[in-house]
Amino acid sequence: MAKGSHEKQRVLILSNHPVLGEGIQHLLKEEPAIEVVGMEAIAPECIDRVAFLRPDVVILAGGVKSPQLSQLTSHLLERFANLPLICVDLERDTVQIYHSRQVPARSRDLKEALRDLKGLSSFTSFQSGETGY
Amino acid sequence: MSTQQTIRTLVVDDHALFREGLVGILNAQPDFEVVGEAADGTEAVVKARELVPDLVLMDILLPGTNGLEATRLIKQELPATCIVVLTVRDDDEALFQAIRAGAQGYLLKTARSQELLEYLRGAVRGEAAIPPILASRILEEFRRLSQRAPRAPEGAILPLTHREQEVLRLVARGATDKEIANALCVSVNTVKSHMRNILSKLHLNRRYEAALFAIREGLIPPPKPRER
Repeated sequence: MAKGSHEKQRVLILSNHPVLGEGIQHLLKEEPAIEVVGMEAIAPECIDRVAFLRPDVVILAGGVKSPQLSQLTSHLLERFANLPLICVDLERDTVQIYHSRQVPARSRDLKEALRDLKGLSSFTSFQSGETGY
Repeated sequence: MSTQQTIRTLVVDDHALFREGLVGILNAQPDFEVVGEAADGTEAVVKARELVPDLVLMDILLPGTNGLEATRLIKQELPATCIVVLTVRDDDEALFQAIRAGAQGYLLKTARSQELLEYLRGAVRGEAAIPPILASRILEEFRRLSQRAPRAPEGAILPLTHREQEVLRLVARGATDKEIANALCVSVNTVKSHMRNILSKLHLNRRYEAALFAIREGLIPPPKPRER
């Protein structure tokens, strides 16, 4: 069951480049169908934040070459197997979308990707009170 | 600065999403107005020439003409335009090259937006937009150069008063006018007056130039080596 089209898509932004993270947060605020539930610096505690906030999508933003970020990406994918994860690489002009596709790093493409992800059935587990992801 | 008292800003970065986010952050501020965007160095030079912005936020790693060369070219044509580098590169080489090219500041993309905005506001007021950790590297470089280069002959520079040297020492440590005023128990206007005298005596235009010049010429003691 896909998430209802009337419900806001809950997005958590994790970033090791605050200006990038805050910029994305700013851009997504304009979208009525999206709710940014948090903006956190990348740290091991992020795993707990994801478990606590239960976002529909996590955006990881920063230098992908950073060991902290790549480690967190692995941990997130390992712990939350079906978690839609969008990775915005500051060093490349692309956005990597796990479980989906790669798109150019422009706000309209990011928003488009978020809209596409909204239909994925993996989101519904939280709504029905299951363990999630 | 324009008559509306907004800081007319040109944002230069090839990463479209970063640029768009930054433009959004700046335009949400009442005192900033993004008048243009550029995705490479050549476009930056053309747009700067056309728009004559108060402030250029410049990335370094750009396709074609890089940000350092673009900074140099823009400063040649528009010396009054303030250029602040905003980059992921935190190596000394890029930092020193940017300062030599005429950048008024050097900020890392790891900064928070509020911190970034405060530095940018300071930069257009003539302050150096350089975080203390990077400022210490610049001072260390000048200490190194000052040990290598011969000092100016006695009397070549008008001597600064004791008070002016105190002000300059604090400026060299990155203190703002308000912080200097608090430290010396004087008003901000008095600090500004000292700064004007310092700049006049040293034949310089900007406070960070005064601090760097003073260290190089031995007018104030060089900073201690950075702890590693």
